[in-house]
Amino acid sequence: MGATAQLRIGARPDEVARLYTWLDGAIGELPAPLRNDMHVALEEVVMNVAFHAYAPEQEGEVAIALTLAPEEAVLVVEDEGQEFNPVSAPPGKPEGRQEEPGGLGLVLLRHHCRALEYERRAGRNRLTLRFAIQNR
Amino acid sequence: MPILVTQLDGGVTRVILSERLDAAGAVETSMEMYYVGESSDAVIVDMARVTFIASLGLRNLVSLAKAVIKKKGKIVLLSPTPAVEEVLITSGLDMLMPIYRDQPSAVIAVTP
Repeated sequence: MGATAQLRIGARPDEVARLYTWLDGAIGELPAPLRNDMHVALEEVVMNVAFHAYAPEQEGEVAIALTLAPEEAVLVVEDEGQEFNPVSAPPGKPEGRQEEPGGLGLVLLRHHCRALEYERRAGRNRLTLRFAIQNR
Repeated sequence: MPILVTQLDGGVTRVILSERLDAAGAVETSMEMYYVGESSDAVIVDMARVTFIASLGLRNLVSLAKAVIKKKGKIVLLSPTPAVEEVLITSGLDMLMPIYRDQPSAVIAVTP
């Protein structure tokens, strides 16, 4: 097991800015393309939780954990919102014609991660995003 | 402000975006981009200074492109960095807004 870091934020769009400084501080000197992959993918996931996981009147949270190993960076994103499995959800149109939030994000998410794993357990969504370090 | 709008000769509008078009940057630029979409039908979106883009920033670009194209206008992207270009191509935005590498070519592409 490599280095780990955790962040817990409110599931609101205005909280998302905290992601970037946290992630930059946590991932250190990884190659720029990999950093971009991780930023794009993590923003997609957290914005999706912020917009869709909780009812408007609900004060939800999203927890993010990062593990860095020599060959792999792993982000785990958890929330207690409504069930949503981005691994099996149909992707949006990859022609910039996507109207509904989420669809375009799924295209980006799948492109920028090496692997995605989803689990629903005890009322929580748990999404694992894996990034290969050596390929970037 | 990560957006600057200038007018070029021939009625061409140049939108210069910069910094991070993440969730915060997308919110900051959305109103100005909406106005461009309402008022311009020959648009160059200069992406050379954009360091990051994700889906909210992409949606702003899609909305702008649709507004321009709906008026039978033309819109192109100019000089994205490699990281940003990868996201633009993955999301298919280059099919809606072709990518050009130099401004003279971009001007010719959007000029009626």
